[in-house]
Amino acid sequence: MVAISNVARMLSPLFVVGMLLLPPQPAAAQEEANPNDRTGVVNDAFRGPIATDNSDLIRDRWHVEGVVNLPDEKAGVLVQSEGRVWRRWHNEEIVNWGAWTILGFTLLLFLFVVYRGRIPLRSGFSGRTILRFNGFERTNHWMTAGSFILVALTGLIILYGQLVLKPLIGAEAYSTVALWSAYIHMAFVVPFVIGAVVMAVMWTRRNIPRAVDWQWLKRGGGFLPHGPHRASAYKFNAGQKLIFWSVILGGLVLLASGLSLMFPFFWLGVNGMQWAQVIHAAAGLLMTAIIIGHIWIGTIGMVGAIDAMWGGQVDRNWAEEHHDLWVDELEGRASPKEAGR
Amino acid sequence: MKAFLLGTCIALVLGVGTAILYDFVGIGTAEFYATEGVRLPETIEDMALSGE
Repeated sequence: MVAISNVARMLSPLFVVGMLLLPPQPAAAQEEANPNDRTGVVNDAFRGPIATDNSDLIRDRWHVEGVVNLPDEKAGVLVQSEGRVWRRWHNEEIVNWGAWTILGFTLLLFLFVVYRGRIPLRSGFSGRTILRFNGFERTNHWMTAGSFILVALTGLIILYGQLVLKPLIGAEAYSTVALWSAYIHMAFVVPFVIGAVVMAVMWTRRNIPRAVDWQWLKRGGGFLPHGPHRASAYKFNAGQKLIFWSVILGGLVLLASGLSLMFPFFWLGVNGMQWAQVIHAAAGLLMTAIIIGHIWIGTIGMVGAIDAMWGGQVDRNWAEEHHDLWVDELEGRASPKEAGR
Repeated sequence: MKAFLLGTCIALVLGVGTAILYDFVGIGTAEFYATEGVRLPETIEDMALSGE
């Protein structure tokens, strides 16, 4: 031990000289370890360059999680990679695809109207009418429709307002519009859901798919200018059944995901919230596009269609052209048409 | 026409009634979520605050 001590004592002046001749690495290392100095130098603890700002830090790590003593355990997760995927979907994919879906579908309908014109009543109006929807059905339809339009418009403001409205009306006005949109969106979902439930009770039995619906689809509903002029249908044709199930099933998806967004983290974690947000936006946009099609066919798209929901009575010739099997049912006739026509 | 007006009125009554109920309970406000012990993750809070 004494020999070793003597050797060390002899070498110590050399060590001091050597340290003086070397570049001042230890001081630099201390500066690198300073967490406040994010200048892009090497840090062994992270085995990589120190981030120069928060976004670099997030980009460098897939998952950064620690332990916290806070009641909120989510606070222990600093970074989780799914957040970046969600942000990309939220800010880019959903916004872009949603706009393309709605604008593209509206453009297609417009081109169809230009090309085809209104779907005519070939046999003309007879002057005799049939009750298609009673007062209760129509009232419930308009309650659901009015609510959906408000919910859809406010949803679009929430999703696209910052991009479209804010540059037009300014940040302050947009802030007020966005806040009211959020309240209206959450409030008017109640009459929409009540209306959809009542529709489900009233119309589910008549909207169960049948063999004749496939024939209707193959014939393009009789809407195409150079295709068959007739396609048999009961009270609801295949197109109406698709809209009905879109409203019922889409409404369920929107309700479940929307409640999760209204009550954040009550029953979902961070990942669940991200999924709920993406699903809610995607389902809402898709349903909006479908309902635009429904509004088109029910108003300007087809001669005589609006009467069914406006006054409840439709012309007998209209009913015979578009819902012949339903007329047969009403008049107690057998319906041999279903098989072949 | 009557059904349209009636349906729209019912939707308005139910919608406004729900909004008043939400306001009464506090749904949609930071205070409501704070009292329920819900705290948004910092990253999402930051995004919301930055308007991202």
